[in-house]
Amino acid sequence: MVPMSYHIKALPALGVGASLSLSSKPDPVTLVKAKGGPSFVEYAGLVDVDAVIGEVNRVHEAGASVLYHPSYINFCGSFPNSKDWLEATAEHIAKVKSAWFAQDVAYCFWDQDAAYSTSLGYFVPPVFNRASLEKAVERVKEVQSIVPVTVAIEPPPLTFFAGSMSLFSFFGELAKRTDCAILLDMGHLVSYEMASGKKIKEELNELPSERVVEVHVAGGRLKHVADGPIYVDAHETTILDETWEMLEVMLPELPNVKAVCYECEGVQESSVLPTLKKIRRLVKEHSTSKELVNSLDNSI
Amino acid sequence: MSFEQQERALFDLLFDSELRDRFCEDQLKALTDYDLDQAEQDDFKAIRPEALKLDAAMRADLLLSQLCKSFPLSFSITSSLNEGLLVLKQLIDTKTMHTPAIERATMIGNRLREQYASFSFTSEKEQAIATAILEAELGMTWTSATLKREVLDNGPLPETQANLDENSLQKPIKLASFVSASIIPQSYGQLKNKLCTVDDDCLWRQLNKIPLSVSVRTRILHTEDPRLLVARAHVSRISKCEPAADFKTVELSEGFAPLFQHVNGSMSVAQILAQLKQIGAQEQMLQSIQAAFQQLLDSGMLEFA
Repeated sequence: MVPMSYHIKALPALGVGASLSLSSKPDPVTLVKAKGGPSFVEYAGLVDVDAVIGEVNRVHEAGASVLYHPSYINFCGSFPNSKDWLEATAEHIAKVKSAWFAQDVAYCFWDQDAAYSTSLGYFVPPVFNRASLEKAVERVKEVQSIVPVTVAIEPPPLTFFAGSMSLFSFFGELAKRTDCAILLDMGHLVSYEMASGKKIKEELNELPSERVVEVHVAGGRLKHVADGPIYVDAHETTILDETWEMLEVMLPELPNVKAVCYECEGVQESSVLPTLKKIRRLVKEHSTSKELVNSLDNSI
Repeated sequence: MSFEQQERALFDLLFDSELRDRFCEDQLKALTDYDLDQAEQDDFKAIRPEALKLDAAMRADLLLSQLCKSFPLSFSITSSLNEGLLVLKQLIDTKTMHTPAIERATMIGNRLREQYASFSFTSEKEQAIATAILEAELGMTWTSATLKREVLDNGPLPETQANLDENSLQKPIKLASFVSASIIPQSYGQLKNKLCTVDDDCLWRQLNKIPLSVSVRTRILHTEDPRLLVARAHVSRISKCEPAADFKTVELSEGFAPLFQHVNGSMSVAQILAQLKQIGAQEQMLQSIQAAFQQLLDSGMLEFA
């Protein structure tokens, strides 16, 4: 096994946080100040830090740290990232003091046209095979050469699945070969099971679980068709039972998790705090990450 | 054997509806045009046809939701036309999606304009009015895209605001860069209020739920108070990655439009006014025209040649 670098082990434990839109409801600062509010705020903002720094400073002043989650980096495929965009990302992360940054391994743009994932509607998942893996290694290293903080790669939401490799064999090898961390979104894992017909539990031995530093929990919808349900990522909706179950399955497997994030953009403010409370309870009950559990002591 | 061929197939499955339909009927046969070996073809076997269809539909919906912000009036009008929403959805194809993101809205606008010839309106006049509205929005979309491309290619633009002084009327004038001018049947703001009853962010979803009715469209488009809409795109956020553009707009009387043919860098405002006086224009009209030119100079839509 490729040893995990110290830079991942040494990342700070951030506790249980929330992913929010900085400039709309629910208001990040109001939530941070509330009892039982998020201990960090993750946001998917614009590449240019000047567009968000005012809002980020408000969050810092309220006492929470932030994590930046871009949505414009190609971590896979043949189309290289723009040097200008990566340099702007590095500047962004340095200014907002994001301890690491994570993004879905998916196509955000096509051809030579650097852009947000919205330019394709949303993320286009890669084909999971060896040729694709080689390109993903190239893309992640391309990002790491310009953006100096720890990169965490995230399996994307999958409406459909194409390829011959399992999800965790693809991500496991990608993480080891690029020495990067991993973010696991519980809903995305549910989506993988539904799209591929495979079971996450049966692939756990392929996951370098010590590299998983962040976990996401978010709302989703199921579209029922003749050959079974299809998972649709929908942060503004209720967290599905399948997602909660996946969290309970995964937490004991992840000894080095530093942060659990509830992605709640567009969710009613009144339901955010109870959900954070439930997540903290589950972390206490199921997580094997002592650092993460210890970080909760002051916030429950 | 080529990974690039697999990528091409993946992209086409998402944005080429004919290929997608064929794939859903017979997965392997649909991919024979791609240079894929057996293992590469087999990678696509795992795709559930219904899931692929759903993915493509959601993707098109999200893309149109963004594009709708560039064409709120035209998308609203199109929703009232027979199969209008379907035509818009069909415009999300590989041709559109291979267009760089900055230029994509312009591409959609141009393609929608081509489609307008084959839509059924209640009258030719109504069709002409709807086309004029689309062309106004297309003009603004094009100037915005051109401006963003210019900033990306060459960096921040020098400020071009004319220095106005007592000699301003004597200097030859021309249209500034990134300016569009179109005649629309009513004030843009009034049309927006009548045709778009929700915020731009929600408009596409709203139009899918409740398309504009034919009777409302006809009533709105038959109310005429024509204006010359002059719009200048300007940079609202400078960036090496994604400059943002906004618009300054001025609405003038429709009668001002013919004067624009003289705004070509060869004549001054004073010369244009003198010619108008020669053909019998009244003092009050001349004052009004001079004020309009002044307004256009003040707002940077005209500049000295």
